[in-house]
Amino acid sequence: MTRFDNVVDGSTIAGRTGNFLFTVGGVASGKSTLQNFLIHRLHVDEHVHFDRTNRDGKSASEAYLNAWVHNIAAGYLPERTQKGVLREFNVRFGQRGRPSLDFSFIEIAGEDIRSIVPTVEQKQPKLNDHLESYLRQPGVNKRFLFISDASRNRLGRGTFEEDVLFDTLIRYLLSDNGIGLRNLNILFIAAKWDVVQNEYKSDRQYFRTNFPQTRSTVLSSPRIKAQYLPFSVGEVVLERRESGESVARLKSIEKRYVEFLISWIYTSFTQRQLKGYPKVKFGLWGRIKNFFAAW
Amino acid sequence: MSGVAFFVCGTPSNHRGFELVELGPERLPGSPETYLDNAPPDAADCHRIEHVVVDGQRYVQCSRVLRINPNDAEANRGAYVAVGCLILERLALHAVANCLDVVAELYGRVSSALTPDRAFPAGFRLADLEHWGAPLEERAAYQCSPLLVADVVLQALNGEGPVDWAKSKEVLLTPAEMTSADVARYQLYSRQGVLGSLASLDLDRARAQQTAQRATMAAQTFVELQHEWAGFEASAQRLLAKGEAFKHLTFDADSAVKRDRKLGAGSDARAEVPPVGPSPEGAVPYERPPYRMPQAFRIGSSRVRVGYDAATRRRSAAQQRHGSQRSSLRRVVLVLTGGLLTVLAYYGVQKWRSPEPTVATAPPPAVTEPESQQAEQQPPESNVARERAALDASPDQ
Repeated sequence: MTRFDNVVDGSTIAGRTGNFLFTVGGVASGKSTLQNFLIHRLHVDEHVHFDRTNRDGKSASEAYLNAWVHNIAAGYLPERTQKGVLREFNVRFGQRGRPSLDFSFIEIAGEDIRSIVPTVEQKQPKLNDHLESYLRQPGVNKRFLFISDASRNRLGRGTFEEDVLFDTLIRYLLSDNGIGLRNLNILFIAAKWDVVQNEYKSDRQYFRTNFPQTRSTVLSSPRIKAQYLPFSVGEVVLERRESGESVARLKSIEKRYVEFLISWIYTSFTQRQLKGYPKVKFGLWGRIKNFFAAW
Repeated sequence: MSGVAFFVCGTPSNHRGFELVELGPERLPGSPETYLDNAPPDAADCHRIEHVVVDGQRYVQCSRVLRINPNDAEANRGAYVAVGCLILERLALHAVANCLDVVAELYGRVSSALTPDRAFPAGFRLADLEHWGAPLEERAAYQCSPLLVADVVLQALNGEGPVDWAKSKEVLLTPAEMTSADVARYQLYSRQGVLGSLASLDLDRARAQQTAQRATMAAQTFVELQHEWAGFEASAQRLLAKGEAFKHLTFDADSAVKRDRKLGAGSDARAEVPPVGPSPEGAVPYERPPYRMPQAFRIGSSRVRVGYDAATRRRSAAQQRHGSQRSSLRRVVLVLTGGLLTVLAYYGVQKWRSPEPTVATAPPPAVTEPESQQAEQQPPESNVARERAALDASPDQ
């Protein structure tokens, strides 16, 4: 496994414009894995033109992303992201005859997102300062991926921890006392779906069961546009090391979900559809089907 | 001693993530998670010494890191536990050794909580960890460090040093009680070579630090004195200002009285009243110009002054009318008084110049014959008797 110590920090945020994708979720929910997998998929698809050269011209970001591609290809899932460290990556991708999408995404530890939820120990709940600066940046198109760790929401054993986190975060993003965003475009993702796919009838049931308050907030606000997606990287096995540790290794890669994710990102920013990728914008018939499916 | 911050951190739980407990004595600077939450090295157990830069300040972090398994997930994403200290300033050799001793002790306590699977029990929280025993600040400052213990142990092994090992059965070193003099008595190997140089440098440094502390204290005292002096000076200034105001007031009163007197002396005297206002150029330097009131106070007083001048003018007119009669009367009185005084003075002078001196002592008695003395003792004849006697003696003539 390749490790890098260099960090692309978010110290120069002011004056930034463009498209930003924020990946939020609890500790160990799978945010880093999803991002690693996304980069890997963009790299390996020959129908997509993928450029990971960072805007600032520094090679650190590119080296990082290359390592992600290598690690996923070798079957290694990423180690946990360090708390208090924020990394920004700038990538662009597109297809022939379609506009190239240039966007940045932020890698941040779950502990720094969870800090928004009030606790007895935490005197003043707040987000990571850098993340807050990014969110408050005007003139930036923001899209959000809310990652839920499905392995922690086994049927009948959910603790609504993520529901509280997501609901608090959405309220904070919309509130005038918080970030004060005018609208939210969110994709809810049930990561590690392979762990619970036999327990829930559908991802809809999963979200209904485990996120009652978040859904209530989403349904009651016309400013929120939300979609739902189950996500899995493929078959994961545990590998025992000589030191006695067990590490997760990818045995096989599942590309369906990540393609849907790429399609959603591309469509939500450009309003265009990538050729060969699943559709995320439904027509009238699709909406009717969805409506009845929701019941 | 300060300048050290002990901590225990790590990820015992996959879902709770990074946990940190600060044990003091100093607070960890900045956002500790940014420099403490590091991926563990490949080695299962190791010492990690690294530079940490927080807000431009350079510190040294020394920790003992152990790779563990999370207690709530099968897969390990780099779980670890680290016990260590962040050294905030240059410490003496024995102090650094003491810090490592404390870290080793804490590490022992933390690792003893691990299960055979190298995972902490479910529900274990690093935050529940507390330090007991001697305060860490004192522990780090002990003069007797593990270095001295190692030195004495080596002396025992080699049978040399200040201790007579043939006779002494045991040597007791009590870190909490030993002074630097005790330590110097026991040192042998750590007093030689580079270690010895380091130790002597530390001593010099300690002395310099003490001197610097004294100098700082002296400087503080000086600053306090300066403040006090400034306060005193301010009080004196205030008093001086009050004195000046009082002086002006008395001068005003004095000049007012003088003016009144002059005005009262008559219309002739009026002309001699010096004009009110700034002194003309060429005035004698020691002549004090009349006090001028500040503008703020002159509004009310000028009204008063207007009234006062009017009264003065009225009085002057009356005086002009009755002036001649009064002055002649005064002249007569003055002449009479002068004459009387002259007479008295003359009489006094004459009295003082009189020829009969005042006798202080009686004159000595004159020596006389007894007959004459007797004759003298007879009562004097009256004028009639003397005349009869003269008539009796006159027929022969």
